[in-house]
Amino acid sequence: MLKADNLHYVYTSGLIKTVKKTAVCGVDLEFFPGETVAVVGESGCGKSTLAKMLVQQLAPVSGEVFFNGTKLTGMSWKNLRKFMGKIQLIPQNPDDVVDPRWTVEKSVAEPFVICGGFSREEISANVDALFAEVGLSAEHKTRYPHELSGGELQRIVIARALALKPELLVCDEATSMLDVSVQAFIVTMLKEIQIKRGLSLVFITHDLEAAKAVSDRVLVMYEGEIVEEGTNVFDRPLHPYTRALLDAARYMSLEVLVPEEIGELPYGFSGCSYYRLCRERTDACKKPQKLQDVSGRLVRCWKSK
Amino acid sequence: MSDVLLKVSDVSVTIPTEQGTVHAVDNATFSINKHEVFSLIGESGSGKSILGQAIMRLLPLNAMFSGKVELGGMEISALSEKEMQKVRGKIVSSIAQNPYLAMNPGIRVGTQVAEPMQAHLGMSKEDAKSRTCQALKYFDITPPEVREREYPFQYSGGMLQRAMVAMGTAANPELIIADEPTKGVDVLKKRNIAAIFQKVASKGCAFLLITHDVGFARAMSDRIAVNYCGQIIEIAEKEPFFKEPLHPYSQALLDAVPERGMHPIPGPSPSMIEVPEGCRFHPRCPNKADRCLKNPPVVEINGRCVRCWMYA
Ligand SMILES: Nc1ncnc2c1ncn2[C@@H]1O[C@H](COP(=O)(O)OP(=O)(O)OP(=O)(O)O)[C@@H](O)[C@H]1O
Ligand SMILES: Nc1ncnc2c1ncn2[C@@H]1O[C@H](COP(=O)(O)OP(=O)(O)OP(=O)(O)O)[C@@H](O)[C@H]1O
Ligand code: SF4
Ligand SMILES: [Mg+2]
Ligand SMILES: [Mg+2]
Repeated sequence: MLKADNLHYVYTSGLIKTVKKTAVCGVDLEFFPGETVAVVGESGCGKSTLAKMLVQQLAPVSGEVFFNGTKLTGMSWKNLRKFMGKIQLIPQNPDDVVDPRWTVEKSVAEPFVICGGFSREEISANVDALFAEVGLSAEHKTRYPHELSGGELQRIVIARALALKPELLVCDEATSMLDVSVQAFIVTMLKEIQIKRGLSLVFITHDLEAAKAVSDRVLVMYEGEIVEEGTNVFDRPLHPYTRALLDAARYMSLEVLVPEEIGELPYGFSGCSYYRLCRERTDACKKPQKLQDVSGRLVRCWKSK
Repeated sequence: MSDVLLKVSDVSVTIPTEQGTVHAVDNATFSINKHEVFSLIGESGSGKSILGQAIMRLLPLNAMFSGKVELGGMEISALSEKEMQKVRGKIVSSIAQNPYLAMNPGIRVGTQVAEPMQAHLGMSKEDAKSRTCQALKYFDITPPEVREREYPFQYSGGMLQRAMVAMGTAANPELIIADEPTKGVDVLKKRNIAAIFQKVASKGCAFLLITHDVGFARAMSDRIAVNYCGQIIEIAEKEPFFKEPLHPYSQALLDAVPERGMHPIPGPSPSMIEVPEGCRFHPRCPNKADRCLKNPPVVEINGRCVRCWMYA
């Protein structure tokens, strides 16, 4: 249903001395109706940037995004609007969407107002239902964002994203401020909607256990690239990076085993992006690595074959 | 006991709202020893952050506070705001839940991280700057010389979180109140945070760790407290707690972790305005009986505290 081709994003910052930072580099992906995909990878690897490009909050430097065959990238704001209800992002930072000067009730009602065609009674009934859906009650409605706990505010953002019955929901760390029980409650609720309406769910998360528990398919990102993709990734990781990530999670309380890091790579190094830290590197890894199909799994490492 | 660092006695916080009074913290009583890592876990919205803010005296302006907070024998809840300013940052430091709110968007990250070192350790600007770079490097925010000059919006979520931790631990305080220090931080970097917390703790600093990350709490803490609907319902040493949680809420909470299949606790979260009578967990408790409609006592068993009739 949602398809992305060769997405790239580069941040440029600094007024006098411009610094360029490639955040996403050649990502191809496709999401299907009714499936749950987890996107994992270390901090700064470009997950949020990718998510923002998928929902058209950022225009990619190059590459295209299609929704049910329609090309979204480069579309005018006016035409894009009717798709925006269908693809929703729950951003990592709640303050990106809730206005601090508005009561949270107003923030949740906003999508209905923007979309138009709802009477005041309908909006208020819908808002009440959404509050109940995410486990909040009337006592939270008239508050301002700073008057809610971290987890309550996060649920406001979830409620808002569900307002227009999206077909694809991208959750960027959407449950990171919730206790495990409320987290389970939210996931169960989303899964029910998925069964009812065929909603596609994308969870961007650092909680690998949760990713494993909820997802049908996993994408592993490293330095802006997808390095591994497939089912049962956590049971049988093939890429050295995925293995390192899982080891780190498993032995939380133990000393970290960081491989010996080699110094700066030569300028213009085009080999494997994980070369610097990989424990299994050889000279062959200095060549560019492509995603290879290893019995249904995609892995960006020649050794996995 | 001389090695008690923080003593919280009968602290209650209520906040008036349009819909009624929020009973955010109800008679919280506990103490934290020097060197100790004390974790507070529990329900979202149950008053954990507010309790941390009450200790720091950073409550919302309309909140009503009662009770007593002592730090190293000094009653900090009775200090004037001016005296408290000195204590804050030097003795207690906080790492807030939302880095986007806690960091000033218009000031370079490096300047913000260096601020407590200059203000409380009296460091020169240059010294503070080089220490800042070291700290950023330690938390994997590289290259530090470049990152130091960037603004918060240029950071990814997890990076900003780590910059907050760097800021909180910079001035070697005696107590650090860390509210969700690992939110949005990946597993590899979580271990850096764990390692630096352990290092800081071994120098004699105590931690009040507020977290939803049960695995992190388990790896880090000496003792665990569980909060539900404004009350601390269990306090125990880590090992016995994870082996056998006593309070039915603690049991249900630990059962909801992803490893065990993500089963939410049945029933809605309680209202914080019209709190359930008697035991606040009774509407959702599988073991409830008639007596549970009366306030349960805090029972002490083998050095553990639990607020439940089953153990009375
Ligand atoms: N506005 C910006 N200007 C400059 N650089 C940016 C900006 N936003 C993000 N970056 C950089 O882009 C890279 C990827 O950021 P992104 O937010 O996508 O990471 P992420 O995978 O979501 O990480 P996290 O798990 O920490 O949220 C990071 O190195 C970050 O510093
Ligand atoms: N300024 C405020 N005005 C009114 N109510 C408030 C205010 N701040 C917090 N509350 C309420 O107080 C209660 C406790 O909030 P607190 O932030 O301490 O929760 P928490 O345990 O930290 O939750 P989370 O894990 O979601 O961060 C919540 O029910 C919240 O809605
Ligand atoms: S491609 Fe080579 S360097 Fe990269 S991860 Fe695989 S083995 Fe390591
Ligand atoms: Mg992110
Ligand atoms: Mg909180």
